[in-house]
Amino acid sequence: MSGVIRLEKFGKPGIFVVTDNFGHDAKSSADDNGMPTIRIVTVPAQEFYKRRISREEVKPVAVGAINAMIDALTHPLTQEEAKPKPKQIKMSRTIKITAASYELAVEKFNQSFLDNHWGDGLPLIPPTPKRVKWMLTGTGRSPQEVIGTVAPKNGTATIEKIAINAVMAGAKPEYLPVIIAAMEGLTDKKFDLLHVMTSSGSFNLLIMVNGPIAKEINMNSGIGFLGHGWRANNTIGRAVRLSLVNLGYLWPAENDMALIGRPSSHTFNTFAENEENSPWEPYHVSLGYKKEDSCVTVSTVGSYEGGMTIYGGGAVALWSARSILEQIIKDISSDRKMFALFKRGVANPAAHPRKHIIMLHPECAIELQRLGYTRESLQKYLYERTSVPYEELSPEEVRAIQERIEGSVAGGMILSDIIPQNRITVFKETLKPGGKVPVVISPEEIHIIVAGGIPGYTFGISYIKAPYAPTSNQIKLIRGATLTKAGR
Amino acid sequence: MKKRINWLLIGMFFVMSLLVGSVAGTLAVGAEEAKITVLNPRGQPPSVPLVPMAVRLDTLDGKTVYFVDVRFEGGKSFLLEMKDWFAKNMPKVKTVFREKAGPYMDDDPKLWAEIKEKGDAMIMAIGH
Amino acid sequence: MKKRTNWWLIGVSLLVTLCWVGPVVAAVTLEVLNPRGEIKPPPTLAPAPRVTDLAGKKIGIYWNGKQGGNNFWDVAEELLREKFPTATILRYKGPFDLGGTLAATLAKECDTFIYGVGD
Repeated sequence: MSGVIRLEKFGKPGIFVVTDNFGHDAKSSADDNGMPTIRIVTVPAQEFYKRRISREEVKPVAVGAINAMIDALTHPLTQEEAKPKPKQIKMSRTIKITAASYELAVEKFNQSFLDNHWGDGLPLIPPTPKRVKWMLTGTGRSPQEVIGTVAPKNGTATIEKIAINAVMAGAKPEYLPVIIAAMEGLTDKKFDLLHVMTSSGSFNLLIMVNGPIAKEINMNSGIGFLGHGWRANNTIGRAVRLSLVNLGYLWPAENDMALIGRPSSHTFNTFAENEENSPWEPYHVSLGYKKEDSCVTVSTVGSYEGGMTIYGGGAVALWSARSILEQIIKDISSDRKMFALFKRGVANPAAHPRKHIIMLHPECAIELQRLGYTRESLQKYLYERTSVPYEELSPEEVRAIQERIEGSVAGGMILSDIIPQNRITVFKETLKPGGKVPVVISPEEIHIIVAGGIPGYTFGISYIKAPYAPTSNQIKLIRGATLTKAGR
Repeated sequence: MKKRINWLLIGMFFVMSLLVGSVAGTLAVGAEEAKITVLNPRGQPPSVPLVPMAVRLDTLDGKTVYFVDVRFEGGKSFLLEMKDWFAKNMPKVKTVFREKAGPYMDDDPKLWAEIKEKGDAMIMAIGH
Repeated sequence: MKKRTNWWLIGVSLLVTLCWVGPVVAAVTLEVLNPRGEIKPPPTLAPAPRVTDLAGKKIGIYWNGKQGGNNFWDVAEELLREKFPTATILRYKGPFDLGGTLAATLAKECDTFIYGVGD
């Protein structure tokens, strides 16, 4: 939609064509971008998606839409279209619910909030002023402090608003600094929140806590770490989910187009790295933080599609650290298919490079360390082992890699396809005899995390390179905590 | 006089109702601090009849110990290593290795009968 | 008669008051804070005035790269040529948001545009 508005702002009249089940989303996007009466023509989704494979097949869909397109291009703007009224969202600070008893009032509150799309489908704790004040005791930061704006509708996230949603989630005040740090990561302008929250790819969020605060608030990093049963894990994730719904004005099938939802959609994948059983420095320390710092990392990951791949471990099949490494290499190596699939100007998720998060279970990490690996050397090893020798590339692959490099230099490509400027030279150097073309943009795009208990699984979760903002991984320092020793 | 009393009475009723209304609002705050009674959500498990363990041996020397593999991945190697250890370190203990028939949870009556007849103790491994 | 009317009046008043007081005595009011974020709306703009006719115009078709969209636009181009033989159809392709540079090019070269197909 933003592209259409660019052209309209140049004074060029046009239309945006979209499938009908995304019509509401398109209208919503037009509102968000300040041109609410932009002309949108829809084509039936039921016909378009199955017929778009060829011109002959899709002809009836185009024939069905052409008159509407011509009309939208030429019919004069109506008074309402020419002078659109700014949308005002009236917001009251408090909402009052009256019922015959407290239980009925809570029931009415829950139904009302869900009807308004202010909840997540599970029962909410009423965010009374008293309860929110209690929640705010967990941070020394001002309730009016603005953290950022939340896509897609760019509602303002203040500390108080986050606290209100944290109450609804059932969180405790000592979790609030963690929730705030997660929201700081998600609202960072470099982080692509729009894609993970609205794409039909049904992507998911990883919310990982590092540092001493994890133990203080009793987060699970052992067996079942991505599951239920730990209030900190579950309500921190839920507070983030509710904050995104209410500050970003997200709702399924309106602008959250995750077609089949997401696993753990209410709580995301919220956990703490298992620092105690890890043979290496904690993840946040590897990125330059101090061991006594506590941090939150938010990262977009796949869910159902290209979601989790188990590489080995567990209590049934035999495994070794070497066999697991080979499985990881096999998985990352399969990214080679993107070489030939890349065509400049065509949005093909299979042609986008991936970010890989390797979740090593503690036993495997310990074995790898015994074999001489550090976190950094493991990243480099996987990067090099999965790179493809120039001599093995087909002419089509060479052509496509060259086209990607040229497009990255020239600009005008979707961010998901771009090789960052600081890696262009590296890629250029690989396109000659003796060179090895990497399938991952850099070794740092292979994130190594130790999580789970004994026994555990080593698995990978990956995500394509983000399309709307530079990064899908952000780490933020937890600060302002008043009820824990860590995170102050 | 009577007319005045009637209007006075009507007026009093309305004033009372206003007072009660404001008290009800105050009661709403009090409701948050009220004691609540909830029902127990847990299911009642059946009582488990206790089975006494066999009497322990005072020594393994001169005894026959069966090493029973439940045929779970890796268990055989583990038990055979243990058998070797006994041969080197406790040679007076006679060790017999057997694989249990059938899946993990099934009985092997033939093997139980053999152990009852010829064995003094048993090590079964490895569960998960 | 006057006496009966007065007692009748008192009785009705009492009944009305009880009906009003009854629920109020039992009523609980829950006051909660609004969890929604305040949105600072961007300036509201109108779309550009339409062209009156497509005959003789330069029509830009922008394909945002979504798979199969090129097939749809190929047919749309054919249909536009049939209906408006004097129009010029110019084809463009790029990312979902065409960006400032390509937008400026398209704006310079075209009188009107069609953008998509979105999902």
